[in-house]
Amino acid sequence: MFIVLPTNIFSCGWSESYETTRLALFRAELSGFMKLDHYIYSSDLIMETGRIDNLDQLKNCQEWANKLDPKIKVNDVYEILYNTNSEYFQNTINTKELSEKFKENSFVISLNLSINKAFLDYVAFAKQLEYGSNIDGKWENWDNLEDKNQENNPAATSNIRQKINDLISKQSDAFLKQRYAFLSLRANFYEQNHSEVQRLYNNYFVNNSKTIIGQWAKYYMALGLQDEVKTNYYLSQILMNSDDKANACVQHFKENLLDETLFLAKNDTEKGIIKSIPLLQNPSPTINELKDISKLIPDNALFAFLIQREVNKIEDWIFAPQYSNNSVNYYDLKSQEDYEKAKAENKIKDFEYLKDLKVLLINILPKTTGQQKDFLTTAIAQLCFINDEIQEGSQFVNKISIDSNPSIQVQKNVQMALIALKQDDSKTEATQEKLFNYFNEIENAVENDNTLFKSMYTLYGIASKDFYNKNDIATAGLLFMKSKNKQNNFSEHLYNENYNYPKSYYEFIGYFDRLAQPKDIDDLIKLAEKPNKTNFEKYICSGNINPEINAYLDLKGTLAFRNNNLELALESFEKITKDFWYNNYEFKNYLNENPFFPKALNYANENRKFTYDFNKTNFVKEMIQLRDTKSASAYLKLANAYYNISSYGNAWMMTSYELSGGSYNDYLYGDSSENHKKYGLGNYLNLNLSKQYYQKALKLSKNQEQKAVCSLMIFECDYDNSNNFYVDGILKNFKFGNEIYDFNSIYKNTKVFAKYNCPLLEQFVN
Amino acid sequence: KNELVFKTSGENKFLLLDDIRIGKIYLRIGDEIRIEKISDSEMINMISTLTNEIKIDKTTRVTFFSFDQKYINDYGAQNITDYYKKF
Repeated sequence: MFIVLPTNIFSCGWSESYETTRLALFRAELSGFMKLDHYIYSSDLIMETGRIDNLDQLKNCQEWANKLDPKIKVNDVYEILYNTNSEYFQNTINTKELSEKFKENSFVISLNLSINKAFLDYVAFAKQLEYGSNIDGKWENWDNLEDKNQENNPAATSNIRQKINDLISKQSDAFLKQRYAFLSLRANFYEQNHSEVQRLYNNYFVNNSKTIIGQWAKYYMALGLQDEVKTNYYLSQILMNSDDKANACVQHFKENLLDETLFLAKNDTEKGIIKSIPLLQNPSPTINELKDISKLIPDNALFAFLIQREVNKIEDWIFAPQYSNNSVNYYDLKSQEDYEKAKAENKIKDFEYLKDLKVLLINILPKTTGQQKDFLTTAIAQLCFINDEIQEGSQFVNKISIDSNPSIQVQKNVQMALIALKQDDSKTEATQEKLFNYFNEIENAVENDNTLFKSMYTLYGIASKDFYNKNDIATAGLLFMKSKNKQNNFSEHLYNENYNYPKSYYEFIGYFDRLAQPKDIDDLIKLAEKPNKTNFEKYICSGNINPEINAYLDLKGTLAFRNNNLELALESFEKITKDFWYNNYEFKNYLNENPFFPKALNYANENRKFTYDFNKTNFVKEMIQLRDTKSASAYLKLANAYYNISSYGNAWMMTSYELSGGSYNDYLYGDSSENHKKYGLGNYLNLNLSKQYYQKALKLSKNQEQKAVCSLMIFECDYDNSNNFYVDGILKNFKFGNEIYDFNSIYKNTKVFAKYNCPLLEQFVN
Repeated sequence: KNELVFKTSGENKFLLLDDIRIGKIYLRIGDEIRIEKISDSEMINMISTLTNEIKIDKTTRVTFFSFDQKYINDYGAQNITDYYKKF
């Protein structure tokens, strides 16, 4: 059976991954989390933060410094061991330029002392081995061809092992013995000589496993054991002691041996850690396991990490239906009903679960201290806010200590922003100043942690919705755009892509095109042009305002036009400079035909011209004149105009910025298909106004030719509108009036009939 | 598999009636699973359509997509050999 979740199928065209759109505000962490980065809750199977965890390497460098000379700088050791190309290092030794090339390096200075010769030899040897195992860096290098052949030769590797064993026996210093032994142990591991690995481990590492190299050696040793339970047990220990091997430990851990592994645990801490490992990749509610673990390791960072996962899960389950635009494609009414029912059921369940988790955390709080306590406090606060319990949430936020770590401080800013949004009047300047300060703090922190982009994307999304509900559409739209910017930033870092392109014309107005009314655009323009903006206003406007203000006037006019408010449309268009529509967007490409000749009748014309000098202002002016003239000719001409500004016409761009073949439901703005049906008071999709004016003209006219055209066009309107009556590919309920019959009888002798009659029309008459 | 957890909601479609975890995926009530598999008879039908419409000769290459262990196990090596024979 192949499982394919419908939501995982990407249809043609661009779409966003689920990890990009996932909403999450909770991002607080403790030291010790970084090695678990891959297990941060994510829609992807593995989370990639791009953070480089070199704690192990730094520990190693510190061990070297401790051994040789406490004055040695750890960064100098790091530079040599991890940032210096091995070929370069070898060459400088061979040409005796080591001290000169690294004259500022405290590590090299120490190594060059005669009493430290053995240590320098070791570093040189280790670098040489490293070179030998790294095939990629070598092919351009034509020096030392013989050495290269030797190192690549598998037989040569066993020579090296023998060589190392000799070197070990020659060393008097235990530090060096252990290091050479590690080189051998690791090489043996990759050659699957596990008994040799075991021997080396027992001789050199068992009693000395506090060093970082001891942990790494233990890792290789553990993987070679026959006894898988023992392997599991050791992996659970190495997980907490080595950042470098942490991910591998989790991946190699066998969940099915959990009980047997627990049997080997010597104390509560070990038990707690072992029980935690399977939860790192468990996407379902795990409160029962967490209850267990909280009795064992309530004050341990690993437990806190699991809590972070759990809070993120709850955010995912609750925020997604609340705030995201992704709507479900229903197959039919029944599947929609099923979905809505399931959605309601899940909502109740998820909020219940939130409460249960909150109770658990509150009970654990007294058992924790210091940073752990702060962490759990902020988690509890977060749960309160998700549940709209602002008062209780604030109380917990206030309990967080002043010297909590930076990530908890950032989380506090997120939470304070939520409080300001929900409790205070977000329309006042004072509140907005507060909001700006919180946003700013988070912006500053994001330099060091890219996953914070997701918190910002979520926070701004929530804030946008909030302002929308308070009817401040201008602010809502700008926050929406800010939210999308942050979402892109997150996605860029996650998938290593670059979205650095300037905003398109439509991106500046898209939100407002879907959700605003003309008066909202007035607010927006006022805000854009305001000279002394507040910090908050500057922040939300930055990067989100089209410097070309005419674009907003055009938008306002279009929105008014869409409401059939011709006067308001004219008022807006009049303010726009004449050449604006030639130089911006796609206006000249789609408004270039005579709007007073209906597109539907083009089939009878030989030359269709796209050179009409279209001007929105003049067009609307003329529509108003025609409307007020009230004669048959005027109504006919006006009817043609209404035909053309519908989706079937040649001037649809008067009403809409795009003509979409599919539904008006996209990943960016969500489902606006209901709104779409109201465009032009319905005329855009169903030609109701056009038809009305043709009927008026038909009634008033005394001219046969005019009446013929009106009859034909009334039928045409019905026919086009029938597009909306297809069910499963079959045309149903296509009702049309007598007009087409009249066209074929009463008006049979007109020039119009002669020109425009065609087999398609005859089909309906017969 | 489990009667209580799924309900058939259409051809090859199952509606989740309960929240369950399958490996690293968490399925919720209301999620829908669709089984995508070409049945044996469909395969035979398809092959006969192809052989009717397209000239098959010694230089023709037939490739099944995709040769994952999973699919091989599912259809069985014998069946797959038979499909090839039909060309």
